[in-house]
Amino acid sequence: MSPTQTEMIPLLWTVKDRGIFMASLQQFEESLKHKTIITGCKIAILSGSTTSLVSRLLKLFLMNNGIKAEILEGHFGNFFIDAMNPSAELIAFEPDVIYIHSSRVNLKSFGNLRSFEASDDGHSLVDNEVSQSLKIWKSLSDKFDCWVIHNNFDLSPESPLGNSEATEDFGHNYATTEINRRLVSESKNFAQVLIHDLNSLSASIGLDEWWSSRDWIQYGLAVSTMAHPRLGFSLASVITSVLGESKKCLVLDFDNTLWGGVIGEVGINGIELGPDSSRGKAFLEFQLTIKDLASRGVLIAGCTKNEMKNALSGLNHPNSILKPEDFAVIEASWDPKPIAIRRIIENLNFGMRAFVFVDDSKIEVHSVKTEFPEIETILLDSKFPEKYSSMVLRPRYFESLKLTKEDISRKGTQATPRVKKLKNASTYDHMQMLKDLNAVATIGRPTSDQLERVLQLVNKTNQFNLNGIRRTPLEIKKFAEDADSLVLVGEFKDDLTNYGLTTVIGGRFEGGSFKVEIWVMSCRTFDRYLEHAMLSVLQREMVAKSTNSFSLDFKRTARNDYFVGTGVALGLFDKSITDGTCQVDGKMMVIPSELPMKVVSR
Amino acid sequence: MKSSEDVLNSCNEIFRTVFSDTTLSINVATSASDIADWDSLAQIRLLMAMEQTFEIQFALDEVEDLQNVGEIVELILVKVNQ
Repeated sequence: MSPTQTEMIPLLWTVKDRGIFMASLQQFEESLKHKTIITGCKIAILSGSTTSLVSRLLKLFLMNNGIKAEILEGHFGNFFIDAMNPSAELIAFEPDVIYIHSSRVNLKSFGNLRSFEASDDGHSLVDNEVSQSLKIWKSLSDKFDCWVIHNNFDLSPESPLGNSEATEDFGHNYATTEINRRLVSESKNFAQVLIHDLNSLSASIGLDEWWSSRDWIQYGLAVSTMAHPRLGFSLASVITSVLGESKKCLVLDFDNTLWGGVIGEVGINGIELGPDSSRGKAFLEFQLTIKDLASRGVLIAGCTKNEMKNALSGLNHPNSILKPEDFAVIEASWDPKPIAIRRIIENLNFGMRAFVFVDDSKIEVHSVKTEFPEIETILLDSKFPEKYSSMVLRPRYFESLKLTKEDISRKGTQATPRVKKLKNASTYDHMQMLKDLNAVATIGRPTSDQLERVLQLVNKTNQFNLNGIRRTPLEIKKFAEDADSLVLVGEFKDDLTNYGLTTVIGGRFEGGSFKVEIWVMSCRTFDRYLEHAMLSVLQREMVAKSTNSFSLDFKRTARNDYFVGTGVALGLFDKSITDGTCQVDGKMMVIPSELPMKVVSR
Repeated sequence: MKSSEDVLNSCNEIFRTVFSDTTLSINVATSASDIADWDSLAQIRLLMAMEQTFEIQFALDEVEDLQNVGEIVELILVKVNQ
């Protein structure tokens, strides 16, 4: 499978990883050979310095975005002449984009200690530099019907006169900053011209790494070899945006994504969100990032395995920066996420490529990536919520050319959270996806080492909980050891994750029947058919004890709606179930003949 | 002390990575004319990977007239054993 944009990002952020990336360039290029091509793009690069490396990287990153680039490189250092008097070759090439690869090495006026603001001939040196760019833009706009992407200027890592370089009107940094400001302002008069922000990019990498005297002197590279991957990536993001292929919608999980903890389990007061803890602050920071994206016109959708009331209560938490109205749509249900996402896609009416899906669960990300290869996915690690913002922002999915008023107001147009039932049967085969993960459920009586985990599950689990009754360690121990009782625990793992012990079922044999008094499961293994596996092993145990009926000691709690839903789906009882002992009609039970896992009894 | 064989073996790994060819086998006589993709860009990537791997720095004049792998190995050997 080709690497996704998100998978390539970590390789671009440290010098060491960029070194590996550069060495392995050819392997990355080969891995993209089978990438689906959405569109092509002809790019002419006008040279202010060596362009061969940026050209190759640009091709790679565009290909990674599904764009096949054809590139024509101009002669070394010839950008001004090529722009003023384009060659027949360049004209015949009919570029979609002209990229001017200039940078501070191309600033002509630098070198004399005099004011950049005013000089003897009445024109400032800043004016001279800006007017050269204006000539280029005018000439290219007259001759070509295409986008012109022009770098602004990076600062020098060295400051001969120290701080004065930024604060005095003869300073290099002062002048560069002034030129950059003027270029942005002037570019507003040229509809085709876009400024590529080399200045911020170089600052983000650090000027000491951005610039290499050796690479400049030896290879004519105005950006160090090691910084080049970031340059190529940044340009590819802008060109992707130019071609209208930026992402438009961010689909977010809720639990352990927007706040710490599972709200259905720990309740509104138990989630981590707020200034009182480091983790709570980290989730707040992430929400702020999302709010910022929403205010810039990115559509935000929620996709959470939750009861809607729980999902909304999280957003209505007093500390929550994101509110229900920030979401174009919220899908809160227990359906597999690919099905929920299909509903979101139908609802928002964008192509699949417009979506980015974010979740902290490997299986959710895997299932979405497998079902919709065109959707970019981001897997968050909930141990490090402080990294969430950069995980979402660094890929530059939402690059935008110019922000319109419509972008800013877009979020308001569909801000009615709703769960829309799927009308058409989805082609998504959840069972097959699960089968492909080679899951193994190991089910048996708990060992003494496992009793602590059993106690924890029984006393902390809320959503999948038969009755919400809390137990003492002694009660659990007795349950496990008593000859008339039976406790089964289920451990679960698949190719992606080892979930450990996530479910417990326990009860007593009474008068030829088995009465289930404990049945809990962690939300980590919801939707995996583990409850079916537990029932099938329980049935075997009952047969061994010549018991053929069972009952459930049920109680409705504030949070066990999920258990009720599962029980109804399993055919154990119907929706009208009331508190008390519920006899189960074994004939009505719905257990698929083939479960998407290997069940090992021990 | 690293031997020229150690350095050659490490260089071979770097060549395999840079040229994305797990079967590539270089020797001291291998030069740019033996490997089709060994252009100026590949040269930059090779030298960069060598600097990272051996934790050394090449001087400007040292890398200007390198003729073959043998000369690269010799250059690295002097630096790592200094």
